[in-house]
Amino acid sequence: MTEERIRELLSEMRHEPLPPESLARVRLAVARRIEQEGRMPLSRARWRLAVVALAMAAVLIAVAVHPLKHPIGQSTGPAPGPKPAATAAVAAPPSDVRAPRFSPAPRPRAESVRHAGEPRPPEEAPLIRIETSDPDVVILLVAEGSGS
Amino acid sequence: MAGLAQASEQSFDEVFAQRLHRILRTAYRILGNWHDAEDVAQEVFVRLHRHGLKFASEAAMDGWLYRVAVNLSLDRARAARPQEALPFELGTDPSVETNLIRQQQSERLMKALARLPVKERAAIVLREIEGLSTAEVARILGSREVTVRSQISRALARLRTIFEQEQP
Repeated sequence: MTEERIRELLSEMRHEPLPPESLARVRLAVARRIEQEGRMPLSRARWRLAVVALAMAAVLIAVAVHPLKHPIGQSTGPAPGPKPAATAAVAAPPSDVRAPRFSPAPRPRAESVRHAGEPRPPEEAPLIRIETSDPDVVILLVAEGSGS
Repeated sequence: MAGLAQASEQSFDEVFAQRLHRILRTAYRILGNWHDAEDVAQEVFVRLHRHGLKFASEAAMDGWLYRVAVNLSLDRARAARPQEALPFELGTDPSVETNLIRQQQSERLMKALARLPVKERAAIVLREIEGLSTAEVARILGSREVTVRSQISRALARLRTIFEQEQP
């Protein structure tokens, strides 16, 4: 038999049908194993949960048996002193024009997020009141918020 | 990217249905018995299911399937002596005589294949029966193309010698 004939025979083998029972057995076995493996993650998750629960229980027992020497929140350092009061220098008013009196500094507030374009509430704007020599004329300056 | 999308669109069931014949046939030709071939084919598709269908292309997926099938078959072939080949089921050829001749030739060829070294057997099964290119066979076997050509050449020479020895 020549090599060419051997090649032909080998090539013909590609088209030979496979036994149907063999194919069926493989299909069944693959389906069964995939189904089994599909159930595995659930049981693994249960095991992980059990291990985590056991670890947490062990930590709680360890804390109960050996309580902390310094409970959380108790400070051992000196108490901080009172903050110095803020002082404002006021320039001497000229003879004809009284010094501008500033409105009291706003209290520190918690920062809030404001969107661009959103109008500032009127009570938040710093107000500068300038009294002139004329008691009927009072200049009020409302500073536009610059963000700094 | 088109190949990736194409490979990902296929479901596992589709891939399984399309490739089962090829993988089972390859394992059978290397191992020489259906029982081990079924085990190998089963393992190949279970591994594919675990791996997922994220391959760069269908060719990459086919290469992966063949590689796993051949490696598992070679491991089994090295671990155990090949069992006697089971009689092959024949198609629906009209001539009974033709069927008989084909069956005899197929059985002789299977017996001759079983006498080849496993690497040569795998190379000739992939190249001559499955019709893969030498480059593809080299990638699957993890060899160089020149090595595959040499293995196939030696395997064909051995097969011819085996057939000549069987001649009365």
